[in-house]
Amino acid sequence: MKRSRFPFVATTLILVFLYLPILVLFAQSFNDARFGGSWNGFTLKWYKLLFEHRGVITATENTLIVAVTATLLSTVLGTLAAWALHRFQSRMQKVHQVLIYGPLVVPDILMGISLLLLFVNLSVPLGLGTVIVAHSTFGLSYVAFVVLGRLQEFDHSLLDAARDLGAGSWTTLWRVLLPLLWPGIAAGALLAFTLSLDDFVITFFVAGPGSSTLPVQVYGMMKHGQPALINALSVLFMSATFGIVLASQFLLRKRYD
Amino acid sequence: MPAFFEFRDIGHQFGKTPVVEKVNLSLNRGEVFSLVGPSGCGKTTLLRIAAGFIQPTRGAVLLDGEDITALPPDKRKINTVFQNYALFPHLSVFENIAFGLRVAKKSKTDVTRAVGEMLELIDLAEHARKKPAQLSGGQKQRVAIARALVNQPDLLLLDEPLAALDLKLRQRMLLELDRIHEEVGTTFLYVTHDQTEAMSLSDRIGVMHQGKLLQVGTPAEIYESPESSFVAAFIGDTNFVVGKVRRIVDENRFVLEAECLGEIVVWRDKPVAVGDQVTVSIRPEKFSLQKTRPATNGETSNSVPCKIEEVIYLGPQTRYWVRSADQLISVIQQHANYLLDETPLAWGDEAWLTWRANDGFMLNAYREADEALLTLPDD
Ligand SMILES: Nc1ncnc2c1ncn2[C@@H]1O[C@H](COP(=O)(O)OP(=O)(O)OP(=O)(O)O)[C@@H](O)[C@H]1O
Ligand SMILES: [Mg+2]
Repeated sequence: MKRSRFPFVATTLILVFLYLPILVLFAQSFNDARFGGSWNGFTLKWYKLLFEHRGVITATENTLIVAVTATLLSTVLGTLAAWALHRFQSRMQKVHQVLIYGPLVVPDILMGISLLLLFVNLSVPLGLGTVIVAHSTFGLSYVAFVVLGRLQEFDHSLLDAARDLGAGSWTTLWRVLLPLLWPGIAAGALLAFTLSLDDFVITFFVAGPGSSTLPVQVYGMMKHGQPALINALSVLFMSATFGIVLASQFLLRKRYD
Repeated sequence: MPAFFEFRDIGHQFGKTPVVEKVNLSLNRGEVFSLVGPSGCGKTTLLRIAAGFIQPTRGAVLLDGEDITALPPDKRKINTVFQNYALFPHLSVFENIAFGLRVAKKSKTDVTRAVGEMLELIDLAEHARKKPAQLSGGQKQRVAIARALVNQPDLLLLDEPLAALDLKLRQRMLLELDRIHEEVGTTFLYVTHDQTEAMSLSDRIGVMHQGKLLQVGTPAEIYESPESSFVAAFIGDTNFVVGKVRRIVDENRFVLEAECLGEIVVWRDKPVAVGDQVTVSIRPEKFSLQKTRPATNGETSNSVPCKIEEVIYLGPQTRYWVRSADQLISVIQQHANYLLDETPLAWGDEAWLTWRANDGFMLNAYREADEALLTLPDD
């Protein structure tokens, strides 16, 4: 029987559809022409210029500071939230669950506006601090979501078994609970990290002068007509994000049964 | 000898519902004690009270003369084999068994030696590096036992450890458990709802029902002299004969005016008076079933005519349901050479049912509800 070629054709078309724009971007970043359009020969000058661009360097630093801090905060808080939601059953639990998942479904623009209003009303000066707080709020939701999924298949008699074998609360936490939840926690953290790197809308609202992150910086450069630089920046940025997503996929897959 | 382990007047309730009531039980050092009872009767609750996971609402738990009621599970010299094994999935077989020793900060050499010995005991030395997910059900079960025993507990609790295994494996594991107990000599408190499991493994059995411990005794005591209709019907199968005491024959026997069977002689091992309402339990295998009227004397044995209503051939024995007067009676007959018997009893045949006075056992407590536990012919 002749094998159908449909799966092959369909897969190819979908990949082309998804990755053609990225491929164009990739090629353009090495194009020695200021506005693209025609191919003027291979160059690395956009990358070189990028590494000398003050705004880009500050934005990169900001992005990393925000992403690392917000990830740490959201991982700790998100894991605790997931544990609390899972362990302490109450009539309000469903409500709490929905409230924690809120930021996952509320449009970014509403999150941004509401956070801005909050900061302004409390007269908190906008800056890196406010960006970190904002990123932690949605990061926390994602971490809680992933960890809660892990907890749902967690066998609680393992905790009883550990105590039965002489382990106190801390030993149980370190030797049983965390090792088993770790893949979920790590995957959640990576998700929070990439989302923090990528976020534009919320950051746009709560970032003050000098605290722009890369996406906000890219938007600014767009307005000032530096498309070639943006191409190079986007390629680097995308590669980093892609790497992290791959790593998180790998961690999530790790199961014991 | 003072009890090694003791439940003293234990009571427990979840919210308002009492789950365990007035349980008093003493275990001897080194014995295998089984708690049996139907689902939901409070066995697991009692075991978790012993392990320290549940604080009983009343009563005390004593180990070696010491009140341990307030001690948390990690401070008790008691270990548990959980029903679903509860092996740590991220640790190898070796590390699972070593868990308790590592927590107790034993030296490396001690851990290696003790775990090695346990692996020998459960015969899994070549699987030491495997993860639990790579083991069969029976192997997991053995690891769970080793993981508990390696800590040399004073008392080992086992909550239906064989429930998840199939019948053949269950029988093998029973022998295995017996061997392990012989080698380590630890006191076992074993919970099961399977009475044959309990009978074959235990030195003594406690029968539980609705949170109460109804009767404690050796397997033979429980089987041969059940005190209540529940114990009689739950452990093995039986027939209940209800009636009034008609006359006392001598110190050993009395005549019962049974509601259906008429006058029968009954062994008198408890004081009775004429006119008392009593219930007698007679096990199916105590009867003998014959085609012709046997020559019995009516003083020490009974004989009633009956009609065969159902015959089930079971291999080593045949099970009959026969009707005499208005009572359906379950009868089991061993057969030595079934095929050589000219004509085995068949459905509809008339026959004679015979039993000795001391085959029946007077119950202290009878509840009609327990009739529901008896095996009935399905039609
Ligand atoms: N945490 C709890 N909260 C409320 N009720 C409970 C709790 N645990 C057990 N029960 C109730 O207590 C009763 C006894 O439960 P237990 O688990 O001790 O029964 P069991 O004899 O072990 O039964 P099985 O043979 O099914 O394991 C049951 O009616 C059960 O529903
Ligand atoms: Mg149970």
